Amino acid sequence: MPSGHETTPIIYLKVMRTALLAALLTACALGQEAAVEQLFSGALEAQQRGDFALAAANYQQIVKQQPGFFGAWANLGVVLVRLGRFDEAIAAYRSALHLDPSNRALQMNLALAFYKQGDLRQAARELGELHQADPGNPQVATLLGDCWLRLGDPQQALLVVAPIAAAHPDDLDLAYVLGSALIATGKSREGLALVERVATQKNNADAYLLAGKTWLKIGDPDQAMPDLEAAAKLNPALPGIYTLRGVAREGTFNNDGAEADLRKALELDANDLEALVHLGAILYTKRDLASAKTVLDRALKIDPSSLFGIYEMALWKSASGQLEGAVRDLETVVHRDPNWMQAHVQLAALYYRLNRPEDGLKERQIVERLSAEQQKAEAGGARGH
Amino acid sequence: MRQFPGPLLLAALLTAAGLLLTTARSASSPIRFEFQAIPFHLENDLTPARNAPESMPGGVALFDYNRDGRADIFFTNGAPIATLKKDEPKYRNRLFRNDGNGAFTDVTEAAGLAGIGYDMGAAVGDYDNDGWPDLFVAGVYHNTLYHNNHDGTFTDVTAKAGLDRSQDPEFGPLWAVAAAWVDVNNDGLLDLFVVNYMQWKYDSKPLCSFQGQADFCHPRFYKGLPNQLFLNKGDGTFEDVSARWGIREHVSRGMGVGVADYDQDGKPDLFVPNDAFYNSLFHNLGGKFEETAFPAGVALPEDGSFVSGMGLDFRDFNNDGYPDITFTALNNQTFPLFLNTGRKTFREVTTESGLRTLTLRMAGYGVGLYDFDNDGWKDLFVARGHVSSLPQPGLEIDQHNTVFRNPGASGKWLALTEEAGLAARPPARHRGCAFGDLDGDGRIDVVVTALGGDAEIWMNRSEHTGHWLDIALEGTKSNRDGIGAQIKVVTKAGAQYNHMTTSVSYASSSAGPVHFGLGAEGRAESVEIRWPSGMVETLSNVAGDRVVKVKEGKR
Repeated sequence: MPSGHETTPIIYLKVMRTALLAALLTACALGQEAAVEQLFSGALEAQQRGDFALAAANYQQIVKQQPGFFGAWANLGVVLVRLGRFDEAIAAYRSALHLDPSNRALQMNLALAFYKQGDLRQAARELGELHQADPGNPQVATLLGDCWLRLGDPQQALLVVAPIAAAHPDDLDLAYVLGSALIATGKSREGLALVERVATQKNNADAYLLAGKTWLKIGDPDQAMPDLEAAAKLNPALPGIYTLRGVAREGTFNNDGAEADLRKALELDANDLEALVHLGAILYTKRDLASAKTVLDRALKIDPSSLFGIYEMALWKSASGQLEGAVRDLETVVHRDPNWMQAHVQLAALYYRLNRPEDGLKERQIVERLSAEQQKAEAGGARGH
Repeated sequence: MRQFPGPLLLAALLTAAGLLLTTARSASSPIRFEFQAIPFHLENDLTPARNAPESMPGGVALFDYNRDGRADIFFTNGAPIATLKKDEPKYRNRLFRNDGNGAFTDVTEAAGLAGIGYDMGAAVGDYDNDGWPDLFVAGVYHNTLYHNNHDGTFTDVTAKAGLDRSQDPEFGPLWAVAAAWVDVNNDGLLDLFVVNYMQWKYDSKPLCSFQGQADFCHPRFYKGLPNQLFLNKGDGTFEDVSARWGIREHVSRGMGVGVADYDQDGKPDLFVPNDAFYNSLFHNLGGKFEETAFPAGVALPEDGSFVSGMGLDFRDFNNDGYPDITFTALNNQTFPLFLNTGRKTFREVTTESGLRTLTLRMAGYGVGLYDFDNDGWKDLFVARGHVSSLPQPGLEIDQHNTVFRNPGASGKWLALTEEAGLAARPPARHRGCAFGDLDGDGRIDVVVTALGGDAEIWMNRSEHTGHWLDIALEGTKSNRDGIGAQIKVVTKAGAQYNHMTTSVSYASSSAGPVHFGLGAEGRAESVEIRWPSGMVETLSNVAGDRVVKVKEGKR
């Protein structure tokens, strides 16, 4: 996500007021417990000056003495989150919620604790309840949508964020989650429009990266290039940026630039499969067959089932005169991906070279069918020669 | 004791030597061209929507329309894309009469060749065997056949000839980009093969963009069209035999057509490069063509990928008597070169010839295999430029033209751009080009068009060129132009081969006679002509550096 959705400060103040009131009431009612009040004040002061460890210790002491002290439980959760002690924080929030089950602000804090801990399923459960209670809340919807995206269920994310997006046109976090969900559910161009808007308005490297990656995925490296350039400029350390830009450069005929990027990517991660395969493809195009073989061998050692790796190796074999081997590889490719048109094209040519015209003709018929389907599906958009 | 120069002197000597070497290298480039302007600006009506036809013009034809012995120049031109009708003088096609001494006069109006539609290609052939070259103009939804009236004027005989049906019942309006005159049945009458590109409609076209700006769509967005074959009935009319001759069933996106008898069976074959699709090789069986690109090994380049096949030449470059194939394509696709094995197949030699490395970053349209330095080996000229209209990182849209020198029996081809003087003009998106000897000096010149730009005449000013011999054919039993005739010239240095065709390059038509460079040999020991009629004639001891006229059966 582009930003952290930090709701803690607002909730913290509300909780603090509640806690103080509760503490005073308790003190008045009982006419005692001056020590608890003092402890609470000390804890608040420590919390405000950032001494979360002392605050936590104080709050823990309070709730030990007064287990029904809602404010102390709530604040204890807050400071424990700041200390990264998520399990204890979650337990504290749960104790507070036991005392005040309808406190939505506290439930949001609990959800955030799960979210920050990385327990997205639990976070989604808490956020789901909040969303059910307040479906129009953009903050809850954004976080819940993001959880679903990360949990690999973009359809759920879409169901959460899409209905309220129109009401919050300027909420860029919401737009980003919606754009991501659209992209992940196959509505790439709709999603790209949103993600590119977020990228531009927030000058956000992640958003640029996602946009560039999406353009590449839909086969438009020309469009991917400016987004990936912007992402690289904003954050050169962005994971995968050199690989993606290398692939885009390759697609825009800038093989030298692509090779430099892919080599850089491999410096950062020698096992970057995508970088290896694309570098192999570039070296093959340059007919540096020996180097291409080395790189492709490495790629297939990392992942022998890499379809792109097998495909590129087939091209290498074809150029090296190993036609039978190339055919075997391409047959594997089209078996696993029957819609890979280029593999069918190459297979057709190889069958004819191996004097298997009947097989060649079958492949040509497949190519013609796929071409027709492609034309039908493409209503316009991508460009390029 | 021998004295060596000191360091300072040595440095000075090295500098001088370097300068000398540089000068010598420039001066000794085996092929050199000199730019000559001609007042023709190619109007493609580039609109914000980037309609596909806007990237495709234009063709050029070199032909001696008035039979004064000098090749004249005809340019096709565009029109407003919305109407496809020429409504302003700037859109006129243009005919320039070659007056000699480098002077060209615009005689378009007098000749009646201004045209009416959005025109693309030109094909020259004497279809009625009256000795005067006629002109076919291919265009968007509209083709035109001009008959030469022998008096410097032409008459539009499209309807009379039966060539006015540009609406196909199955495929809709036809967009032709090129054509070839070829006697497919060797009956002495030139037939017409029309190359159709793709199904484009102004009102329902795909829209593509680059970084928010419209640009031309990839051809895959469009459905293809079948090519057409029209048989010459000998009475001024033509019959569409596309289906009967096996042409119509092959729907693709044709960009050009080359004519040659690749299997030496006496019947002319056709090669059609297609845009982002398999190439087509139509093998003439007599009465029917079989499409045989795959078995022959020319359907795809060695990468096995679709490329954007553009212009082509179908001609023997290695002097073994078998016509080879080369065609242009876009960046990262190379300009593939296919060697005819003599066994009805081809072997791609782009990599081993060195052309792969040289052309990988180039894009081209027009192309021709001609012996520019008259050393006995045909070189390769490419009119370069990209399809796209928007600049992109790492991609040159505007490019200089380049000539590739044939190394001969062995070695790698050599790319000559600046060295050949072709950087004397700014880079452009060049399109068609045609070849011929405009000044009669025995060196092949080139005329090139540029999209939205001025045409360029490149006069061949190569120094130290070899001797030459041009064979001007006149068929009697065969078609009058001798199109399809194969010529073998033997000198002491060996044999070389060429054949008569005007269909060369992209959307263009080149002038005869058939040109041979003789290198150091001042005469040919023999000249053997195999006419399309089957007649074989041999001339002996033929002096070089001249045009030899040969009339079929009159020697």
